[in-house]
This record gives sequence, C-alpha cells and structure tokens, in this order.
Amino acid sequence: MNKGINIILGLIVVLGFSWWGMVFSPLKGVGSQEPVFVEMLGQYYPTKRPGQANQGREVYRQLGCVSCHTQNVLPEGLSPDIKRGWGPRRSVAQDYLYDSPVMLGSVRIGPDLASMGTRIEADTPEATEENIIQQLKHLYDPTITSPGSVMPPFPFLFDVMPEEKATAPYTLHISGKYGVRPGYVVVPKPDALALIAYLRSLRTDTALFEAPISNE
Amino acid sequence: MPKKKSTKRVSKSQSASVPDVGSDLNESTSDPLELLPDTEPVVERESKTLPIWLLVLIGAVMFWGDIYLINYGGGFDTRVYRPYRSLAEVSSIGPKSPEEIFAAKGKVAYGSYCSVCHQPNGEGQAGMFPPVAGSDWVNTEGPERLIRIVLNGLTGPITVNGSEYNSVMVAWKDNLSDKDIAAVLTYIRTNESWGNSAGAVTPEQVAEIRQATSNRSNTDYWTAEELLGIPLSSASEVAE
Repeated sequence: MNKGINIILGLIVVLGFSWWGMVFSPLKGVGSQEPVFVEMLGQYYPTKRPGQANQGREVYRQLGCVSCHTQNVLPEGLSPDIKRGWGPRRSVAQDYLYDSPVMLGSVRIGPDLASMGTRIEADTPEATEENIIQQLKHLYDPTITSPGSVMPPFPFLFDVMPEEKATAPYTLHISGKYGVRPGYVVVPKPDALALIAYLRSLRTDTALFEAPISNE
Repeated sequence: MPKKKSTKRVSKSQSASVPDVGSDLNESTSDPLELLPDTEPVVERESKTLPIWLLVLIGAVMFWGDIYLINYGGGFDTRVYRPYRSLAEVSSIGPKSPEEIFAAKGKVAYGSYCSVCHQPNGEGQAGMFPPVAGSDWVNTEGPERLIRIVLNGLTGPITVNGSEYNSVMVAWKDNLSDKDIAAVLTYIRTNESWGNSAGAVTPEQVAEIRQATSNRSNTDYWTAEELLGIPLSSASEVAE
C-alpha cells in the first residue's frame, strides 16, 4: 500500500475537477443570474408572475402537465419549434429565473408551452374573455376545441350547476359527448382559473441580448 | 479464451513436428497433447502494454472534444446561446448605438401597443382603425397632429386616404413616455416598407406638445376637425 497517497490525491483531483465543472461554474454563471433591464421595454425581465398565475403553476405541477408538455423552445437549426409557432425565440436560462422548480419537461406528447401566452390568436382585450372560455373548454374536454387530441380531460377542475346559480366569472355551455343536462352550465373552480392565468403568463416574447427575436 | 486457443495452436504445431511418439497413449485419450503442461505463451506478456492505436484514438477524441468546446462552448459565458458561438458574435447582433436602440424601441412599442388595432403590417381595419402604412395623416411635414393623437387619443369619424373610419383611440399620455412616443412615431413615419417617408420625431417635440396640451384630460379625445385646425410645421422648421 505504498501508493496510497497517490490514490488519495488522484481521487481529490478527479472529484474536484467534476465538482468545479458541474457544480461550481454553473452556479457561478447561470445560478447567479438576475433580472436584466431591457431598454426597449423600459422594464426588467423577467418579472414575477401575478399571484393567481403562481397558484396556477402549482396546479400545473400537481396535475403533472409536465409529463406531456415541455417548456423549452429549441433554437432554429436544432428543431422546427419556432417554425411551428411555439414561440418567437428560443428559450434561455433567464426565462426560468422565477420558476422553482423549473418544469422543463422532456416528453412532447403535447405541444411545448414555453410561450403559451403569446400563441393565443388575436388576443385583443375585447377577445380575452372568449379566448379564456375556449381554453377552459379545452381543459374540460380537449376534444371540444382540438378534435382527436389525446390529452386527458380534467372535468374535476369544474363544477356543474344550474345556470341561474352560476356566479363564476366564466360559464361554459357544453353540449355533445361530454355535455351537461339542459339548464345546467359548467363553471370553473379556482384551480382551473389559476391554471389558465398561469398558461397565459407564459410568454417568451421579450427580445433579450442573448436571444434576439428575428422577425421578417 | 484466446489463451487456450493460442496454447492449442502451439501444441498442434508441435504435434506436426513431433512424429508418432507412443501410439499407445492414443488409446486412453483422443488427443495426447492435452496432457502436456499448459505453458504461458510469451506473446501474452507483450500484449499487456497500451497499444499505440488506442493512445492515438484517445488523443484524437480529446482533440475533437476540445475543438467542440471551443466551437460550441461559447467561452462558458451564460449569455452565449446557440446559434451564436461567442460573446462578440452576440454583441454584434443587438442594437448598439443610441439610434439603433431608439429604432428597436419604436418597433417593440408598436408591437406592444399599436399593432392590436392598426395591425402588425400597419394596414388597420376597414371602417374602424385607419392604416398607418402609406397614410396621408402619417406622411406629413410636421408630426404635430400625430403626436396629439397619440397623447390624447382620437374619437369620431376621420378620413384617411379617402376612406372613412370611425372608432375610438385611447390616450397614451399616462402610459408612454416622451421617448416611447417619439420612438414609435419615428418607427411609423420612417418605415419605408410601409411606403412611409416622413421625418423622424424627437422626444423634445413630444415633450413640447405634452406641455402645451397638459390641461387636456386623458379622456378628452381629439376629433379629426379639431386636429385639422392645428397647423403643421414645414420641413425647414423641423430641421431648425
């Protein structure tokens, strides 16, 4: 055992090198990122999510949305994500600054949701209510808005009640396969509204120094 | 297993050279030479050194890894992402000079505040929101009327390029700074791909008109007739 000191030194070097490369330097770089001031917008990025959206993030986490949806738009040249319209630019570490845990996901059974908030078509202030109702219907039964979808329905996020009793901000009139009795409406529970608020808060449409938005 | 094979090969060659020694042994075993001691071949000891090809392979892989890190590591800077390869390359993309930042700011502001009604291509919506692309209200000598519209909004009928539009534009004076308004109006007025060729707008011009109209509340929208009564400065005055 006259080589003991060499073995110990070798171990220290090997482990120290891995620790330096895989723990220390990532923490020093990505781990110490802070919100940056975006001069073009006159504000900082990213901003914290509103309270309801933060609750929705917990609902997203609880329902396991991450098992089928990623939140990571890959760069052009590596994937067609941007051509698919999943986001205006690639995702960077800055986008996840206020997310804990970061729900990147790894399986894309459903579309990527990193920039869900910017993908709602014609989301003008007047059309917002109608768009939210469409999204809620999609949660209640995805095949209403996306025929052939394999996403599971989430009816437990909703209550069914007589129309005159419905006081929630949104009421859904649903007919067809998953329809409810006439005179009854589907109203979202707070969890459903929080989840929608979270999905709408997912936006990566801010041009950053490291990830400019190439348009036209 | 190669050990045994080589042994066998050696012993078989021996059997070839050695003539029939004691044929009586053949009766007890099928192969008498298996009874010979299994000697360690000398070749074994030589193969224990690192072959040169492996050394070269390791070197080549390490070299390739280094080249890959240099090309795609981005200098280990957290601001360098694919498809860019170095900080210098990323820096060269974004706007640098104040003018470029001003132009980029106008574009972003148009996208955030204006494009919902006036559309991303500046064409507006028939009957409601007039176009800003190729518009006779935009391509004027001075920007006095445009600045007033953005500051205090507009209501009622307005004729743009011979067509009638009638809707409401809200006031932006509380939401947008002088610099924002100047940037977005500059973006619109100097946008050649929209067929506009008017002059730029400076934050000072906006500040001046904001000051002059400061007693006007932000719900007191302009009307087209009122605006037409406001004189436009000529190009020479703007230059001064």
